[in-house]
Amino acid sequence: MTDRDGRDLSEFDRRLKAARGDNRSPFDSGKPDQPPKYGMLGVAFRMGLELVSALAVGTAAGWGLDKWLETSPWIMIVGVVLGGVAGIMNVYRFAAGFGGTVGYKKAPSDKDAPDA
Amino acid sequence: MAENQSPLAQFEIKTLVPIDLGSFDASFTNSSAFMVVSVLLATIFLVGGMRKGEMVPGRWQSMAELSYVFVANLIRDTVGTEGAKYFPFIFSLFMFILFGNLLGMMPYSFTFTSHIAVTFAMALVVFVGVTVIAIAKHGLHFFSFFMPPGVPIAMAPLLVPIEIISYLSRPISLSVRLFANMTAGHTLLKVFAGFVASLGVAGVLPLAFVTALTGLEFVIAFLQAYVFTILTCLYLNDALHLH
Repeated sequence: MTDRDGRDLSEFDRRLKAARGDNRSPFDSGKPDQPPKYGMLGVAFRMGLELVSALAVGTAAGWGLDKWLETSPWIMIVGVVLGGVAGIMNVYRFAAGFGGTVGYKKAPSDKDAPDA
Repeated sequence: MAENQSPLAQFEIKTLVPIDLGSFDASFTNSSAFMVVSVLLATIFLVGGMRKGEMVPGRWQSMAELSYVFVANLIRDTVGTEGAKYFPFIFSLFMFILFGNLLGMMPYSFTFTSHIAVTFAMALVVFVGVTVIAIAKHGLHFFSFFMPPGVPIAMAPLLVPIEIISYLSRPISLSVRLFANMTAGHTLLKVFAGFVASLGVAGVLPLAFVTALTGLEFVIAFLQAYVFTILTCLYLNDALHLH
């Protein structure tokens, strides 16, 4: 089999057949892609953010419950402490490679977890 | 310094078409305009790239296929085969954020991802969606998520609130990360660009720095879209495979 320029197309045909036989879905096979790596600044930024966001949620939840139950400021004080603890847990999990998981189970994909 | 030269002037929301829905200001702003442009560009990029659907892709089709395979691989590696049915949402999310970030790199453009209102709305959609998926799939068993296995029951009153706070902090860290990266980067660019003219001949130093920083900003534009997407995938994985 040759094309107009006289080149042999059988080699191309063989490769095309091989490629067509390789009709795996991109969802279920192949080796995992390596995600981009991040600098230490990104890691530091993420840790600070994890710490602060949990603290903010704890404080806000406590403040809201105080307003609702008129127990100001007691639930907020508890909320600040719990939020701080949750923040430290977030950072611990991130640093220990647990990824975004709540709970202690290691995420199956934590090797792909981003650090930024 | 003139008002429009402030490093933060680029984040100003300008109303283009005023729309008033009762007490809501639903005006079409420059932010909305760039969101529309982002959606249009992403659509043109993909539909245009695939219009011929050749067996041997050209350059454009290669790029469209590459972005598809990139997100598909991401979902497969983090969520597994079950994640395939969430591919349309995650792919749209990725393309929307990526095009928004990259559009923001154009001079005189507006970066809609530099607004916490936008990123938090996206993070909230992800958070609520993932929680609904988890409850729909696991029912009440979902709430065991907040009690780590193997912990004595006496610890529950302390641990469960901590886990719930930790869970609720997800949309905040997700949205603040994207917003802060874009805002900080663009402010820094503008601040250093402001030095170029005012320093005269010595202005080549900040100019060189701004040039390098622009390259870095392109990396961050991609990286933050990627991080938002992979975290969405990780949350989805948590929802589908509870411990």
